[in-house]
Amino acid sequence: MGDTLPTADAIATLERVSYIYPRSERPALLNLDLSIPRGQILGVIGPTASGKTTLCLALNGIVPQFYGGRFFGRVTVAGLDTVDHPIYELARHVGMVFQDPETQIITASVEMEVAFALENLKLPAPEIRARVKAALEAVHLEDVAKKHPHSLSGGQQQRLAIASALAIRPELVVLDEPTSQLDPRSTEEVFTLVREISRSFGAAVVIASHAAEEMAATVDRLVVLYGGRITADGPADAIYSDLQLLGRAQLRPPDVTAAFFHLAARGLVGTGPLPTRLDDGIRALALLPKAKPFRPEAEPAFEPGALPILSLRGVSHTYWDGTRALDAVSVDIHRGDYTLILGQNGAGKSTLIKHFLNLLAPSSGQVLMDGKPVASYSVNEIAHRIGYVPQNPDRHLFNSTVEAEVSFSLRAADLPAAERARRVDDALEALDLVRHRRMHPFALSKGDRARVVVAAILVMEPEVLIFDEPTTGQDDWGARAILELTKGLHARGKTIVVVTHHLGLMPGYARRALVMGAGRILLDAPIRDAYHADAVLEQTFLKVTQVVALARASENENYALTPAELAASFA
Amino acid sequence: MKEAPEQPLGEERTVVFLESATIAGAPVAYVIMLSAVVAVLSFIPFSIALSTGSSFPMSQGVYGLMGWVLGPWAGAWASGIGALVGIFLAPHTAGIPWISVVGAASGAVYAGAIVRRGRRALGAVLSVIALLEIVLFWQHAIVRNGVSPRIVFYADLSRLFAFTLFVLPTRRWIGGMIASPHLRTVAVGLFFGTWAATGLMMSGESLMAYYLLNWPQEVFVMFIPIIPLEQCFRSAIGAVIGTGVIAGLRAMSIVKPAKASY
Repeated sequence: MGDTLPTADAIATLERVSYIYPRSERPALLNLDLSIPRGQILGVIGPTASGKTTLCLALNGIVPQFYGGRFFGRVTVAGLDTVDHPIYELARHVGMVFQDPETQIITASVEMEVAFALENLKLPAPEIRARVKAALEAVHLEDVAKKHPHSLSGGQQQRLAIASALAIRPELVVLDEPTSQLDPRSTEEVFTLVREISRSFGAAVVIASHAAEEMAATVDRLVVLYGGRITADGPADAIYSDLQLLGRAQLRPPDVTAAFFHLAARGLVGTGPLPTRLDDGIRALALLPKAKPFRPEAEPAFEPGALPILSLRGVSHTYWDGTRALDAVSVDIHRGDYTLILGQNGAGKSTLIKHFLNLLAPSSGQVLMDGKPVASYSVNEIAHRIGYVPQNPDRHLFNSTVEAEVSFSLRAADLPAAERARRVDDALEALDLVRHRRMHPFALSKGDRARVVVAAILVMEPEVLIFDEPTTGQDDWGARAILELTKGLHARGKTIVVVTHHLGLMPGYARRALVMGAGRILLDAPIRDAYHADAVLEQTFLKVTQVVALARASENENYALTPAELAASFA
Repeated sequence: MKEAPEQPLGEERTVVFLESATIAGAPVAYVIMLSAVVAVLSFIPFSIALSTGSSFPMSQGVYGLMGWVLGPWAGAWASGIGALVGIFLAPHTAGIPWISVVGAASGAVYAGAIVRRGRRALGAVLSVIALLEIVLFWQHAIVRNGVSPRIVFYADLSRLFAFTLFVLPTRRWIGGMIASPHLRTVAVGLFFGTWAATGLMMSGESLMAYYLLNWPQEVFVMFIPIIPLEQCFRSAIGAVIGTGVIAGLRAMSIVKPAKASY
């Protein structure tokens, strides 16, 4: 176990902390004892609704001061009790960065955003200017100081949120899922920054994240939350290599650890601690016999003879501000296909999807559904044939119960009541939402809210389902549940399109990958080829997965995609 | 690992709002957010011809909601600030600007008095003010402008209904319905509560506008069908938006303002 008892050099301590949200009976946190030493990077992992966000919010008094509810025990930060001291006083010591940077960015320029908290602290103007400059340099945003925050990329916005937190020179920085919406390059930037914060500023960092690979490479210590309790606390290596523990908590290990677990199962490596970082894994791999070339016969990207259901023919799209988001894109989505669309933030993925849905009209070129211009279909027809599951579920929830939300789109459908009820029941069952059916959607965790939106689309039984970052904010179990659902739908003949940054999850599901960059299709290939096209992925700021990196390190012709395949290549 | 017990072991703490972050017991963030809602709804016109010569904004339907969500005084701030911003952003619905701002604030105050229990003094003072406004309005119409008492009565029916709802025990019943755990009951309470609060709000606004504009009897005749229709719209807006907001606030488990009555 790690440092669970209060220590003299701790920046934050929790003593027997429990918390129950208003109108809830179940504690969100239960009897937490935790001490966070100064300068330490503490990772917090746990499945959806395990209490990670509540723990983060308790560290600056938002829980319970903003939410109310019942609070037990004591949290102190920099010696201040978070119940007795107002949030603005605690904010001098704790910088918070939330999952979605747009929720905390409020001003009209990057430098004003960083200055805002300092102005509220009534610091002298020269001091504010100096701190703004230093904070922007620390996050490498000094060149965009005059820009509007909303013109920045997702990664830049998250770095701006971190700069705003750093400018107050906190002794503790708390980041709650800071990279879940970012592409791999931006994710790497944020984790690099976390290490710099700790090294350069000496601040302690608490970071809650599902990004196992980056967490393993960054944090000093890990706490596992499950059901509001701390179920494990120790060095990151020890926890991430304990696959049984992670499995019980519905969490996944880094890919490199999973790969070595499979190698150990085949007796190819010892049963000692498994590597949790890629560089350790590559070093350990070098000690093994050379892998064999591994390239299973490629599955066709789509069934031979399948007809295109959606087509783009030379489509370009230029936004009103001159941004060319699509540049002469031609692509077919065939009936029964399972297509993955990859690319960095701003690569044109969302713009492409909006053309399929006729939410955007092309500046030039043609968009076709079943060979007819998509614009010739009514909104109702498109909505019935193409189901779109958006990235941010909160923008699509407006009913007062989960059941009402899921059944809403069926109200206008010409269906018998029994059929409507069956569809709703099936969708709730498929998404494990039956127990939540009477709850308000906003009473659920973000992961559960995303599943509500998926269920609301499923009841329409559309021919094509487009999922935009469906695994964002999901724990391993939630992500797998959604992807298994897409697999089941695909097996039933549905056409599936998934947009994602999370490459590691998709082998075994998608067959075809479109790699996009700068508004163009850079590669249209079977997923195995696309995942190993490191030069193309690099063009769009994506990284190969850890399994692919290990495979390439073991043998040039090793095209393994999954940990099990990698282990098989050594047999 | 030793299994922790199910019950909290730590000492239970008293959770309080720290005053510096609140206005009359409501978090400043709530007041700002709901002001923004009022300002945005100010853009949407909801009628064709009205007493002050322009359409009324959809925001009038939620002034009462401010009072139930934030309490009478913080609600008045939220409504007033929102209406003030709305005047500049959406002048097409502003009517006579200063009257709109005062009216918006008063709508929330009236609503803040429509509660299941308590706020007796506030209710009594507002009842006297409302009665005085009605008397002055009738006196101005009948004595000064020579409008037929029968026409004034018919044109003023919806306001008299609002006044009746406010001064009788119905005020408590409506307050109880708004606090009900059942959303259908909440919606009914919001409908009649909005009728009472905005009806009396319009009472004050109409009095001020009437002293400025002196409508002749022909205008009163037009009011007879229009005013109840408008009041129905306001109440429906309050019920629909209010039920959604209250359902959401209850579900999201964020802290309830000290003077809230939902």
